[in-house]
Amino acid sequence: MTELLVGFSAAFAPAVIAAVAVGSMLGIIVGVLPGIGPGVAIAVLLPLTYGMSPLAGISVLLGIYCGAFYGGAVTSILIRTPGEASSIMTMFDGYPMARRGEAERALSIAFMSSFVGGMFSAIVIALAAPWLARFTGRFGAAEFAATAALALLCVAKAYKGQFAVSMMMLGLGLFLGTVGIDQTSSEHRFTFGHTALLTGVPLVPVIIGLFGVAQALVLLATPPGRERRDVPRAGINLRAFAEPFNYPSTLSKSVLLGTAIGILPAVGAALSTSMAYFEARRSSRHPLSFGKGNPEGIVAAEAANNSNSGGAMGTVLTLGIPGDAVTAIIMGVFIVHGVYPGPQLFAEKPELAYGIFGALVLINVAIMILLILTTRHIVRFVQVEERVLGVIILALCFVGAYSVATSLYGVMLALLFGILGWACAWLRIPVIPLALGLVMGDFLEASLRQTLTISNGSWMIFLERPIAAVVVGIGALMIVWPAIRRFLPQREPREAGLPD
Amino acid sequence: MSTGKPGAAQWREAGFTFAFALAGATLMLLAPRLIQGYNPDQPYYARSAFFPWLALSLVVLFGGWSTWQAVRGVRRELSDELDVAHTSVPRALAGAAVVGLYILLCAAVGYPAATCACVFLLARQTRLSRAASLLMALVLTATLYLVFVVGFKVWFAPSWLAGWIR
Repeated sequence: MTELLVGFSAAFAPAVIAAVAVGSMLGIIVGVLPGIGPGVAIAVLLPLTYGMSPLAGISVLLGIYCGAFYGGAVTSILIRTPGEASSIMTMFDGYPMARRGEAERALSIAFMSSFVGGMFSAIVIALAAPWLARFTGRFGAAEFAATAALALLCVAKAYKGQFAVSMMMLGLGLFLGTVGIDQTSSEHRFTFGHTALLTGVPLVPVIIGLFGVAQALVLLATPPGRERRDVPRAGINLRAFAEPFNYPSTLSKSVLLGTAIGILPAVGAALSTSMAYFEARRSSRHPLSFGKGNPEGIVAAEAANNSNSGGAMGTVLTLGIPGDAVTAIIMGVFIVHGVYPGPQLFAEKPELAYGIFGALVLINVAIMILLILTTRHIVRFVQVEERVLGVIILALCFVGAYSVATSLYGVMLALLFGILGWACAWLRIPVIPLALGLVMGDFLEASLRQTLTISNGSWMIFLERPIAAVVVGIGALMIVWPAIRRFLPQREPREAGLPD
Repeated sequence: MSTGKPGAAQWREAGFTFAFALAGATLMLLAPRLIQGYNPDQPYYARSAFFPWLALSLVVLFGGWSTWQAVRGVRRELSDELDVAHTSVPRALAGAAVVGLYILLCAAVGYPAATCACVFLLARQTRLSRAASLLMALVLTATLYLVFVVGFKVWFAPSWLAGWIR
């Protein structure tokens, strides 16, 4: 409990509060802006955090991450354009409400539901993290290697219909992570005699390229005329803030579901919002009103959506395993600052580990204050032209990639990976597995080599240790499940999932 | 995923994934030679080529599998990471070319001039008017200069053109 208080008091340092305010505002704007998501914004703004303390730097990025969840609801409700897959469910009931002149009510319900979800998950995970860290503290190299491999497998499996290419990109990311001096033998791997490669392929330019430059190229290539939007005037309706509490069962089920799913690597907010939405519809006395402007639908979707953030950070902090692109980038910030997430973080730097949860609580409060003050003005960002945004992002990517090592080498790498990211999107190949492979490569290699050194090269060690064996079993089941499912009796097809 | 006769898109995808698989296989074969000071006399798990080999085997195996799927006409689902469905390929390539020019100009004429010129070019490429493009270039250059060079003290090398003139 003392560590929890130390962490929360660290989050109240003036520099962290300023970082929270800036990050939250940027996040809200990013959520509202068309065509860019939090991943792009975090990638582009990552170099800005170098001069900050780890907690302040991470707070800026977490502010963007959480703010974008709130901001995403604005475009879903007002113009029926969800910026992220996780905002789709909000659109089903939010847009019909806006059409019948209840935009302010819909936005207020969405923001309060998000607030409850965000606060709940941050507090619950902060309280549960010491227990989780104590459990993962018993992990040895074998358990860490097995868990990291399982997380990467989850990421590849999350791409339905793209499993093979996802695994290929994962392999590429893991390979790129091996370039440079081998930490065990000090041998130079795949450097081709270039001194710049001795320290490896730098993570930040790769991230800026894959997410920032690639997105900017897509925005620049958007044909003119696609971005004309009529936006209804909307602000905040303080009376509607209390409405989510009219649905206590939906609200509580959704935040629990969102927090639990947030902990799982690679599952993502989109699944939690759809599960919460359909559960709310299933248990409602008026299921047919869902999809036609039922506030309960917004409550379910937004509460589940924002409660993912706490769960996702819990996994990064207690296991050192990022579940998606955004948490992978945030983990990159830890590494840049010389901080390695994992169970030892709670023992070695409790002020940082718990400070992050304190910052998450502060971020949700800051976002609510900012939304109350600025929603009426922020909705205008919906009208920004996508191609103009592309120009701004490219200029930011250039200076961001340059400032990593004060060298044009970073910019060249960012351009190279930007073109690769754009080409991959064009060829229907996901790039997030590449980024995750690059982030996780060092950790997986070190754990695996340590495990095999202990066992004199025997892979049976993964079955001899109980926790590792369970993790390996889950991974094996995930691989063979599609084959097993073919032999199981098929259920009758259920009614179509999405509302009309 | 849907299957059918492979079209141009599938052949493109197959070519791309095959290139990756081939590059992966080549690197696997050449790995001992591409590692400076490689010691093959250690147990397999202690060798510095062990993990790169594992990673590259994923590239080869799944790159090969993806190629086979594409050649069979299996149509992969669109990635939801980036929506390229309605974008123009030449325009995207032109944008990348301007960034390449930006890198060259930055070394030649310095950061502020290069930023102003390239933002103007990119803005013109998006069909903004000349006046609007110029305004955007000036405002963005000034903002980036103030934030990064003055505020965050990011150092840019002086332009070689200025040095040459002097």
